[in-house]
Amino acid sequence: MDIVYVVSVVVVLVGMLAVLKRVISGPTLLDRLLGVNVIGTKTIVLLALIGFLADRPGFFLDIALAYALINFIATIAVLRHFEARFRGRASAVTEEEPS
Amino acid sequence: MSALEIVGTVFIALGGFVMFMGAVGVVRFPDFYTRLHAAGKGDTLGQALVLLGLIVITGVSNDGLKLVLIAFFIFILNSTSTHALARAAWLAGLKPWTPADSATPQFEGQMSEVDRRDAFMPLLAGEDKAALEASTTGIDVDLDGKVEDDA
Amino acid sequence: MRTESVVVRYLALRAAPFIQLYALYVLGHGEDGPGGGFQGGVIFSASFVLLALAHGWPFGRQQVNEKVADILAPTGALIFAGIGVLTMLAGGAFLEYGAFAKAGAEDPEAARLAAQHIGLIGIEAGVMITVAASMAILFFEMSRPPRESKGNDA
Repeated sequence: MDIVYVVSVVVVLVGMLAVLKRVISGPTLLDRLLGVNVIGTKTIVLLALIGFLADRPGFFLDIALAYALINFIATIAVLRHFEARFRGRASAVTEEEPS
Repeated sequence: MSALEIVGTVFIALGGFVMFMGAVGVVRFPDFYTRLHAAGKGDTLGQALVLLGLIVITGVSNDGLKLVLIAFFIFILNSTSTHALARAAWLAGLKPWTPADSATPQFEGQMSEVDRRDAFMPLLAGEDKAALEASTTGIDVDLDGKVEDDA
Repeated sequence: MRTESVVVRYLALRAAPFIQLYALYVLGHGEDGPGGGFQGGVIFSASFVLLALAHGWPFGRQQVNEKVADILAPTGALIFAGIGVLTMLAGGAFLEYGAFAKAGAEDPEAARLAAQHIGLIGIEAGVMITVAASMAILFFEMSRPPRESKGNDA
C-alpha cells in the first residue's frame, strides 16, 4: 500500500513544481496569486497522503484541516489588499511592481 | 490488498491524474481566465477524488470523518477563492483571451497563431490546407505583431 | 468597506463559526495532536480577521467587544499563573500538576496522570484566551481605518 502513497506524493510534488513556474514567471499578479492558491490546495492533499504514509493520519489531517481554512483566509486577504488598486485598471495587474 | 484498498487506489490514481492535468493546464493555458478554469476545476475535483480514495481505505473512523470534512471544506472554500479571483480580474478589466490574441505571444516561447499555421502547413495536404488558408484569410499580421482585420 | 461579492460575504459569515469550533478542537487536542493553546487562539482570531475582511472593519470590530477583549487578554495569563500558584499551594512546584492528585488514591500513578491532564487543559485554555484576545486586538488596532480614529462617523 505504501507504494501507492509514495507515487501519489511524487505526482503531487511534480504538479506543485510545475505550478511554481507559474508563480515565478506569471505575467500578472493574479497569476501568481492563483499559483499560490493551487499550491495550497495541493499541500493539503500532500499532507493527507504523508499522514497515511507515516501511519498516523490523525496528526496530519488536523494540520491539513487548519491549512485548508487558513489558505482560504489568506487568498481573500490578499485579494482585498489589492482590490482598490486593481479596480478598473488592468495595467495595475499586468505591469510589474516598481521596485 | 483487499478489495477496498484496490478501489481506494483507483480513486487516488484518478485524483492524482486530474490534479496533475490541472497543474499542466495552469502552466500551459494562454491567459488568466483559462488558467483559473484549469486550476479551479482540476484541483477541486482532484483533491476530492484523492481524499475519497483515502476515505475508502480508512473506512468509518475518526480519520475518515476528518477526511470528509477536509474534502467538504475545500470544495466550498476553493470554489469561493476561484470566484473571488475571477471577480478581481474582471473588475480590474483583464480582457479574456481570444484566438486572435495568440498572434501576439503573451509569454516567451509561446507560438503565435501565424507561426503555428506556418509550422503545420507543410504537414497538411490538399483539402485541409485549403480549408486552413481559407479560415485564416482576412487576418493580416504586420511587423509589430498586431492583428488587423482586412474585412 | 466590505467586499461587494455576495458569495464571499455569505461564505465568510457561514465559515466563521466552523473556524471557531475547529479552534476549540485544536485546543482540546493539545496533548496528542498538533495543537494547543497558541494554535487554537490564532485560528480563533483568524475567524474575526475573515469577518473583517469580508464585511468591513466596523462589522468585525462589533464582533469583538473592545472592553471584553482588553479584559480577556490578561485574564488568560492570570489563569496560567493562577494554576501554577495553585499547584504550589497544593504542595508541588510551580506548574507541577501531579500535586493536584488526591493523596489517598488507590492508584497514585493514574491519579497523577488525570491531574496532569486537567492541569494541562487548564493552562492551554488560559494561553488560548490570551492569544485569541491579543491577536484580535492587534489586528483591529493595526487595521483601523484612518477615518474611524477621528470618530467622525459615530
